[in-house]
Amino acid sequence: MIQVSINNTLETLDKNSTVLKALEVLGYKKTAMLGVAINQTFIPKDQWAETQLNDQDKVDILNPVSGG
Amino acid sequence: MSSTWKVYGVELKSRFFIGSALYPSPDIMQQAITASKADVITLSLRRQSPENKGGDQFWDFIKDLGCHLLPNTAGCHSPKEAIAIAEMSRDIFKTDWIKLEVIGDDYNLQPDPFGLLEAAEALIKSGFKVFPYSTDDLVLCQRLQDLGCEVIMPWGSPIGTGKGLMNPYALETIRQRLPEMNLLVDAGIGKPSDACQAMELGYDGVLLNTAVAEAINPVVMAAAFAKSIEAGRNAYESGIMPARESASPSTPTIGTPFWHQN
Repeated sequence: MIQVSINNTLETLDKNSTVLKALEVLGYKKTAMLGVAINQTFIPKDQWAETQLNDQDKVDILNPVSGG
Repeated sequence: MSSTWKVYGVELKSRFFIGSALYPSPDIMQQAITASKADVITLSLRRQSPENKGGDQFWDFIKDLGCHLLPNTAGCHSPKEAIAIAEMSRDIFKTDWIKLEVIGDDYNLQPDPFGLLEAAEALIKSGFKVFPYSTDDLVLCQRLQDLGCEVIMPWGSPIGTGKGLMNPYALETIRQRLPEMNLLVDAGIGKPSDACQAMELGYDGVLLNTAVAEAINPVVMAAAFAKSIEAGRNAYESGIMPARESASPSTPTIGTPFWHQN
């Protein structure tokens, strides 16, 4: 198992979890407009299936909000 | 007067860029943006938990408006953060436009000029069309132009203060020294007269949010800003008379009655 910070909350995931798998386990909808960064580096959507998470990674999962 | 203008090759009718934040409700946001006649709206990205569907609901309201989207990097304090947000925005919103904010001071939300230049350079190399939120420092604006920015957005005053144009001299200097640049005043606009003043200085547009969203009636205020921006632009294009130190009568003096009778 690995421990990963998801939006600043610690989550325990299976070792070798990919971004896509993590999103599924955490309950994010596949259709949602999401952006993902690992350790402040953007991960394009077409790389979610092959990008593996590592222990102590800091993951940000974002979606659209209002802004000025 | 000119009816359209171009930003990064995109033709726009309105010179009003409007924010999508702080409205009392999504419905009022939609009505206010419609009343503003803005072609461009700003929006952002934030962390979301899976149970919070706010992002998708917000997106439903935004896409119905049919405006060009200008995502921002609000809240970023380093080039690395801003670049990551810009890349996520491009992926999600399918636009290479980015309102680049790199904040240097949390108290007045003043842009970090050094981080702004670093991030702008990297983003332009990655194919972004950068709309940098900058201070009114002429040399910073010149450097942004040198990097390839086709738009620069100096602040009028700090974000959300509504203090209007705190340094019209600096803004006017930028206008005069960068005559070909698309310049928008971004931030600090409080009243329609502030927006009108920016346009009278020759600015190409105005970006604002709080002054509309926090008005008692945001829909009417949005329309008021639209009129003031148009009025300011028309005045600039018409040629504003130079101010004079002494009075000059407007009524003809020849034939003045009772002349020298006393």
